[in-house]
Amino acid sequence: MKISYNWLKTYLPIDMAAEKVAEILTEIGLEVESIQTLGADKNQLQGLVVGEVLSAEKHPNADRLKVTKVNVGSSEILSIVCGAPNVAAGQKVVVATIGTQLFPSDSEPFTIKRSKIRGEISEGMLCAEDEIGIGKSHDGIMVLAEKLTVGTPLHEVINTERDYIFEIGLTPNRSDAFCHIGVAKDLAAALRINYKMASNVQMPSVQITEPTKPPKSSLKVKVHNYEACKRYAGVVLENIKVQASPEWLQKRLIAIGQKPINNVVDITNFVMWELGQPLHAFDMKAVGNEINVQFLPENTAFITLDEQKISLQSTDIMICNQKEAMCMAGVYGGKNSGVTAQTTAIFLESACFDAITIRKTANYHQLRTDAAQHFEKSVDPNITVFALKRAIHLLQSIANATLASTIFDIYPQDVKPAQVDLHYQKVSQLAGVEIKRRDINKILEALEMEVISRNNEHLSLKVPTNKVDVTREVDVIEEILRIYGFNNIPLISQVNGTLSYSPTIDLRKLRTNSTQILAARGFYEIMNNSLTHSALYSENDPELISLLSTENKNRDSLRKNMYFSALETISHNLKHKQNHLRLFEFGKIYYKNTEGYQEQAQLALYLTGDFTHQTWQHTAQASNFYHLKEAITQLLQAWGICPDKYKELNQDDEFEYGLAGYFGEKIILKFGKLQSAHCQKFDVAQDVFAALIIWDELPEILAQKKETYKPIAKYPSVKRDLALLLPQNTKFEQITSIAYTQAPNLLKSIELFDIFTDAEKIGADKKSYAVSFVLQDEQKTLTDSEIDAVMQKITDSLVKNLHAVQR
Amino acid sequence: MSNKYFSTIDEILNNIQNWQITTADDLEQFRIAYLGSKNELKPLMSHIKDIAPEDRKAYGQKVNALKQAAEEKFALFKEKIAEGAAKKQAAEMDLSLPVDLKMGNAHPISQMLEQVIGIFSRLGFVVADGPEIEDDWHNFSALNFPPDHPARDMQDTYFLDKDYALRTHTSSVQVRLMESSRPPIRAIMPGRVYRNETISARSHCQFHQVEGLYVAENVSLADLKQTLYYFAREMYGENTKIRFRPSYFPFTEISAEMDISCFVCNQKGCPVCKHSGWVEILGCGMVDPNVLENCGIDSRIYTGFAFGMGIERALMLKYRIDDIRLFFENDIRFLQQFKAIV
Repeated sequence: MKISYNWLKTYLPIDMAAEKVAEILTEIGLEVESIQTLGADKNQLQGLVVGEVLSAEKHPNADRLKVTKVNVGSSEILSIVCGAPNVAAGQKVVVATIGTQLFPSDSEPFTIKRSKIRGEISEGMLCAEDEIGIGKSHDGIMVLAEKLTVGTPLHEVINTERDYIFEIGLTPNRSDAFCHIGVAKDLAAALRINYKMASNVQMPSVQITEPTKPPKSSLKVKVHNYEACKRYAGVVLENIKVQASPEWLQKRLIAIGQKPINNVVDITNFVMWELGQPLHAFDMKAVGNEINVQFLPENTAFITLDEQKISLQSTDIMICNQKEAMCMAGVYGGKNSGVTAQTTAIFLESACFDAITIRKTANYHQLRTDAAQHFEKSVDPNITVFALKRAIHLLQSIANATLASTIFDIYPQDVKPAQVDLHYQKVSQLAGVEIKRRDINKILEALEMEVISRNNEHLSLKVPTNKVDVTREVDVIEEILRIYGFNNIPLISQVNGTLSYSPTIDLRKLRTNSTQILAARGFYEIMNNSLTHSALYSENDPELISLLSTENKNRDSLRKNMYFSALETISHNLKHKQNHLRLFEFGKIYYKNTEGYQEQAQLALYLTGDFTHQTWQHTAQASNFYHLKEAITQLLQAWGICPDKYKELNQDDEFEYGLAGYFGEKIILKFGKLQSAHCQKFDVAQDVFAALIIWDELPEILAQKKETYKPIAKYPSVKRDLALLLPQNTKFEQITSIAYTQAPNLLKSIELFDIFTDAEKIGADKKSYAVSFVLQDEQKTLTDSEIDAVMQKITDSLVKNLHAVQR
Repeated sequence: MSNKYFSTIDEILNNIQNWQITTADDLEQFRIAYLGSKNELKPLMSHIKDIAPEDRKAYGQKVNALKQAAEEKFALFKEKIAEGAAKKQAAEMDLSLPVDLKMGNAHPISQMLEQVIGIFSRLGFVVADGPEIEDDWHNFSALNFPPDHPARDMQDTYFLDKDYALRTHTSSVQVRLMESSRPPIRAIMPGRVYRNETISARSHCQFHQVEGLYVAENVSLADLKQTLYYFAREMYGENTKIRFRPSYFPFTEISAEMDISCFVCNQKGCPVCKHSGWVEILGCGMVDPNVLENCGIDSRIYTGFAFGMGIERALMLKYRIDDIRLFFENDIRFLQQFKAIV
């Protein structure tokens, strides 16, 4: 919303810097987002005159300059060098003559001197907007209207009324301040309370000239639905002379970015921005004898004033004559009912339409007009007739209008001011600081809250009906504190405190710690978009959750897995030559099933490209499954848990190969090489290894964890190595499982320290594993013969069960 | 006769003293000559029988001194040569060789969430969480957004069907928390939220918020101010000033936005604060009694405050990042700039 400071001052005569006013408005909740300066300062235009460019020739010594001859109405023709690309003979321009002091917009003032520019004499300057401080444009010199007389001082032909336009970001609850009077009233209250100024808002004149004979009109006005139209007022005016508005009115509208049209339309517009009441003027020729405020059947056609064909909803409240709709009430005018140059008589409407009804209509038809925006925020039902009278007053004084009817006012259900009981103590309690009763009373008075009764503890109030959102005690307290100033509530050294308890399994902490572990391992945390493209999933996937509508075409669904979005990230990085990646993401996946919408938090890890690159100390190694397994194992150890079992992933949609880790019968994690078909969807040609951990399942698993201390063994351990020639398809896990079965108490750990394959030496269907076994007895030192016996037992079993050959 | 033996000793002492030792090899030769198994000193003691009895004591002492001199010289030069070797080795080291470091880091959003949560944890706030797919009640109605109220326009919502939508703010978690527990409630609620907006440098369809809530008896606006002042100082430094501006949120009555003094220019005026000296960082207010009642909390007994802030916005201000999309593109060249964890 734009508020003109000059306009504001017509109701609240104050003399304060615009910046200070902006600060105060912001303090009371009318946030000034920017201040725009309009008009020039007359004193800074001394010496500037209208001149005519008689000729403009290329400068003999400079390609970009021109030498002009300029007539400024004196006996001498001036020679002026000009660098503006737009200068041309015949133009009326702004000339700064020798000795003129210029006040540019963005730099220090300076004085024009007679000079020589590249050998050519220059006796002045042709000016651009910014050079004389009346605008920001530096696109070229200002070109004035042709009809201007040369030699006229500039301040006589341009707007020299300095004005400041406040751009206010109005919050939806402040419909009371959606106009100049509203802002003036709030500002006045703040000035009285916090700046001890005796400021009062002067309401504008609503004086009406009554005709000598009481007017008679055959017009019938009928409201068919009082829900949608709470109040409907209007009047017939005739003898109107439709023409351009006087300068002062045009200036007011232009200042706040409104385009002047004609005096009648401009007055309705002016009153809306003055009092917050939208008005509408109908040509009496269209009205005829009847006005009906009513709903029309669904799909009734309506043609707007700009000739859009609209199909109405049965919930759009319409203003109709005897046969058809003339206007979408409070939203948009119709084609044949508006004011034109030929109009001499009008019906002027001032009404209070229901906020929700108007909002639905404006939204549905995408007609977010200024009037609609006022009505949606709620318009004061008790300003209706005052605003009408204000418009009549202006039409009489500007457009020669005379009354041709009495004022119609259909207002079946009087909207009464909200009555609120306020306890003084409650104000201080909520503020957290003692606020004196006297101060509260003063603020309430400044806010025009009428006190019905009061005692020492509390008072009963009537809240003005323009404050639609103020209906409860707490609302009134907010109003009081708003004017008191939130910033005037002192900071206290103690805060009210209570104890709160964290969950036993603190997933947030676990996440932070896991992040640190992964970061130390070289993994970067990524965050992907939860929204994805449905085309990535199979058509009509019943589990996929889609958005009803989206502003981003390729983000129309919620991701059902983590790795598609990660592949998007990987693809982005590959495109930018970042090929070697270690990534992880804490995120959610989303799906729907018979029980409804589901979300599941997961932790995902990704490896792709080289794990290490060639340096003077390391050789290059491509990322592989085991690098990922290392990271996963580290995490599991840090969490103090270990899956009950791992199973190989076969025929898996997600992984070409990999493992699934089980806790009980539930798969909690999967990791392996991602199916290359998935990678190809994102143009990722290199191998991607991924791990997916169901984060949401961790609390349950962690809750079952038992941590105990085990005494350190007193007797030494021994290590024995075995080189085993094994069939190619043997799994290491088989060796460990057999060994532990054979020596459940003595065997403490098994390590694989070498793998050897060589088709020629040991055969293509064989491999050799070099394995260390660590044995230890907790009760005594093992003797050589005991060790040999155990090792023999293990070896025999491996030979028998795995067809192993000891090398 | 005795003199001959004494002069032999003097001769050997002279040799020991003048023996040139510069290399490990020299040292070895010296060791063989005077300390080895067949060293030159060994025969000397056998001559004692040829010495006059009155000179024997002096002779014995001289021989021992000779032995000691050889040992001392050996020890001294052994150390010198070892030192020299170490020095040489040290001089040959290229300590400027690069190392190959593989270190990752948390996403900047995680880092800032962690920082914010850390500050409020010190005040006794605990972390709470809630679903991202929300029903109308938790995201709007319970938070005092009436149906068809213009306040709903403040947020462009992603609807999944007529009943469910992606939450537009973490305030929905407030409702869940107040429904499921009784005051005192003191919690901080971080999370991802969604708005149906075109993705551009300035706006995104998803971002992160942190919501705070405190409901107990006698919670006041002054408590809110002090809590947030504590936060601002911890987050932005001890000289940070705060400013409150009345604002509007349907779920708070007494609603405000909080600005902090611009941490870039110290209120001298810069593009970050648009020359106002102030930077908006969060919205806050006293919980609307309707919201408390909607969650089954007696608003005559309890009051509360709530606040919420956008994490991406705070990060963009802090690091002067001008494109919000960078947070979700996960370009490694972007991410790796956030290594330092302090």
